[in-house]
Amino acid sequence: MDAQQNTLEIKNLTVEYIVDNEVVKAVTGVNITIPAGKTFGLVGETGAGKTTTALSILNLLPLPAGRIVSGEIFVNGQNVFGLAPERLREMRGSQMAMVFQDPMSSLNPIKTVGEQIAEGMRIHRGLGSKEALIEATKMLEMVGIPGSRVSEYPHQFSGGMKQRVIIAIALACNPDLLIADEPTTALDVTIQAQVLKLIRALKENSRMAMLMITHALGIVAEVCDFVGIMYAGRIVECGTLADIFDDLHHPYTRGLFGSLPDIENRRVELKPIPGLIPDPMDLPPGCAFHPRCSYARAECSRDLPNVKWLSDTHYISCHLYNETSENKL
Amino acid sequence: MGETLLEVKNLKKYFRVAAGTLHAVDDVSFTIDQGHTLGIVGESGCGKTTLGRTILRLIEPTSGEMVFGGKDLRKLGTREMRYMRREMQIIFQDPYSSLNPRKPIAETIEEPILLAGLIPDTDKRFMRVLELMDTVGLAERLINTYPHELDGGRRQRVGIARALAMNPKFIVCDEPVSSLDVSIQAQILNLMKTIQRDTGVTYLFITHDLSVVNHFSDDIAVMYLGRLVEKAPAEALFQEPLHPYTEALLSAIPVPRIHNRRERILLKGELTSPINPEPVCRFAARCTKCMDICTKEEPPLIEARPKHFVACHLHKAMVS
Amino acid sequence: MMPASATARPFTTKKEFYAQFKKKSIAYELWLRFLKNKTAVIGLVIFGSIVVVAIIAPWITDYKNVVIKMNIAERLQPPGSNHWLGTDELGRDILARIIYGARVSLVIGISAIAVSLLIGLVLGGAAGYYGGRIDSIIMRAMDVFLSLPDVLLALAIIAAFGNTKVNLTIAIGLAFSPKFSRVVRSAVMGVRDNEYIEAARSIGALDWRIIARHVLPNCIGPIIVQVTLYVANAILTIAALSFIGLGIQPPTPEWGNMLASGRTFMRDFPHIVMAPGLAIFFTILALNLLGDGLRDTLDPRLKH
Repeated sequence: MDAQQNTLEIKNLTVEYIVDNEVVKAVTGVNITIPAGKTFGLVGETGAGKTTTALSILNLLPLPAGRIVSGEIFVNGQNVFGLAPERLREMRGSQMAMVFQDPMSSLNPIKTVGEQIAEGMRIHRGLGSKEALIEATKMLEMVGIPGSRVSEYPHQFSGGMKQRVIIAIALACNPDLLIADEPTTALDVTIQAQVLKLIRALKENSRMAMLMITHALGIVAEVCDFVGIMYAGRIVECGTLADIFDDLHHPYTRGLFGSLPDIENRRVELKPIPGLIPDPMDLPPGCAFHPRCSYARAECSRDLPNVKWLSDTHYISCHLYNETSENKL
Repeated sequence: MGETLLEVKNLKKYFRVAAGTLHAVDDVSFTIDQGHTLGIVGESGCGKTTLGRTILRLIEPTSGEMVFGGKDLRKLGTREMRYMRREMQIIFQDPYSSLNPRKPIAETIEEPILLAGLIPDTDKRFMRVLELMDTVGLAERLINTYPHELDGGRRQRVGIARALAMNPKFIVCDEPVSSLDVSIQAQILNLMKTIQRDTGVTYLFITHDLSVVNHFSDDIAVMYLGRLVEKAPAEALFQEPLHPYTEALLSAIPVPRIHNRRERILLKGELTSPINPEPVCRFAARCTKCMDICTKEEPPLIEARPKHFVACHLHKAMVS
Repeated sequence: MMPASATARPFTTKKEFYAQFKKKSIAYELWLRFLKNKTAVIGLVIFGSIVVVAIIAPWITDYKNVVIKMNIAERLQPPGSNHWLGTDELGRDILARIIYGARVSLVIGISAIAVSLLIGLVLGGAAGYYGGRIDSIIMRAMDVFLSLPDVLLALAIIAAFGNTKVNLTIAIGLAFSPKFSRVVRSAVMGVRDNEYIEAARSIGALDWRIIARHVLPNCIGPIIVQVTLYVANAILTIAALSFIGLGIQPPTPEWGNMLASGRTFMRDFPHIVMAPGLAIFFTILALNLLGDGLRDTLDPRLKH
């Protein structure tokens, strides 16, 4: 595949935090490629390193604690880490934008939503304030809010509407890459359905690539093309939506699916993953999942599993697949 | 089994707010049988949390009755009510704010036993604490730890141990798993099921998560803006939802599957709050099947099918 | 034969069980965190030494024969080997008077704040926990007091009841109590809405138990910080009152009245006012450093 086609390429990213003089490995050796127009779902539980990965792309890691140890991130072929601060600022907003989880705290309460949408367009597209406001009205309508509400303040909007406003702000400059960190987690089910529909519609109508961070496999099934399952800072399994949902292989991926109640059959018992999510300050040796894994063998607690490609799109990092290509699960 | 443990009759809780009167819980009635689980589902602001607190009289109701084990809770004096609290407990949503950060977890679990004066002997009481920790799957070595040293799942286990301390007959579970990670969520749900099987405790399970409530409850009640709009056995509700809101709610669940996906019913509009509500159907403004009568009259809760109750003008009461 | 359940465990009492584990306390963890804060440790060391010196004052010097005994022959001597800080206008050793002055300032300052803390805990606790009408009544009354300057309020009380150490303590205590009520109230309100308070109610705990066991222990952080800062304030107020002649009366040494009596000689003998001035300065500075340090230690709640 031509590198030019990929909107986002993360190569071997490793990020650490220094907390109380101790090293916390937040992200280790992560590779993600998203072609234009496609959506990649990054799935994992608390502390898996999803948000850290996202912040690294924008080069917005909390300083001085956060540190990129190795790796490269290319957005539209440009290495984000090599850019001068001004150039990077220019890229944020115009080429890449981020939507955060909490719609309540992401908006400035003393500015109208119109001003907040227009701000990015004035900075990045050089529009005058009047033009920008007209554009902002169009953006509001695009996300399903009547344009007449452009001069209202955030507190006059409900949670679902605020999240749409945030999406409108993120999209104001037609970014090539949208990073959405749990964009619907704080919303009610029926409102979530509306926002997901909006996200799907945006996807179909543009060449925008999207990195969708979530813990909900149901949402992944709905909007993503590719899926990466993250555990303790590493991507343990990655593939297309069909690879993961029809053909899942990693014991952790199995565990995640087994933990979800079956909506069709309420009698099906839950099969939770035993044990606790590991403390990133004190990761188990070898495969970090081995203490919770029912298939764990001697080498699992000793060596880190290699990446095994099961097909052109599907890879997995688990000792069960190392000797033969036959599926063990 | 099969005996009614709790009967809630015409329960109302109104709050006075700046904009008027908020009908947080409005004329809600239902019964729960002993050893069963009733799930209460709804979106934010539907009054499900207020309902749970009101039943336990942690919030005093505006009007209505709660008959628990044959006694009307609202008629009990302060002393009797304190005595009654042994029988009815609550598990909270947020395992971070529901434990006193300055107390080691053993003290938190011990406190209800201490207050009830059930086991005056310190050592015996302590053994009971260890027994409870064992029941909820907390290692003995954690006894001296403080809440901030534990992860969410373990904290929630402490909360469950506290609720179980006096062998209650009834536990209100207010979103007990919604702030936990998926893999931990399943552990806690299984634990709560095991406890129910072993002790025969009755649950009122409040949640916004439809797939969890389906898995966990025998009966499900759906609330919308303070009203109970539908109540039925879990299978019936999921197979044949009668209320258009329930239907939309069910169709909105993101299902972790990529084949045979259901058709979505997208609701228009946003959730509002029931401040000074008109005597009409509260769902009418967002309903895809809204009729003339819906904006004129409030539909009563009727039994449309055996054991299947609904408050919607589309349905007629069953002729018995 | 022991019952089966007891044989399953290697212990049968709480004590035996705890013997298996090292007990660690929150206080110890906080202490370690406090030690990391350099300025706060400096504050603690300075304030600690002042307290120690005040306590052992009778063994360092003699109150009757040195501190209050006039010795005109040696008046207004500059600092030297006989009198490290020199002597005052009546020939008394300034160092000895500073040391005894610390006793007065600290005792009155701390007990006055204890009085206002007690009032603040009761009134602010009730206002914060119950809210509503109780809150409005208490806090409006406090607002009235707050609108008067502390010194003026203390002055009025002393003027009405006479100028004794006890009255001075009560006067300053009362003058500061509205501030504590506010601090306690807002701390209580921050804790009140936590679910563990509701949990305590759901297991049948009475209000007084909830306030004493669940609410107040969780408010202790901000309250301790305010205590240190207000002790500094109270010491300043005593000094101010004594300076204008309404606080501690000579010959009892107090930093404020030492400043006042020395000011006539200030031009020619600056050491007379320098010593009490610096004593006040270091005490207040130490308490403020300590207060800020405690705030940093206690404020970011026991987060990891």
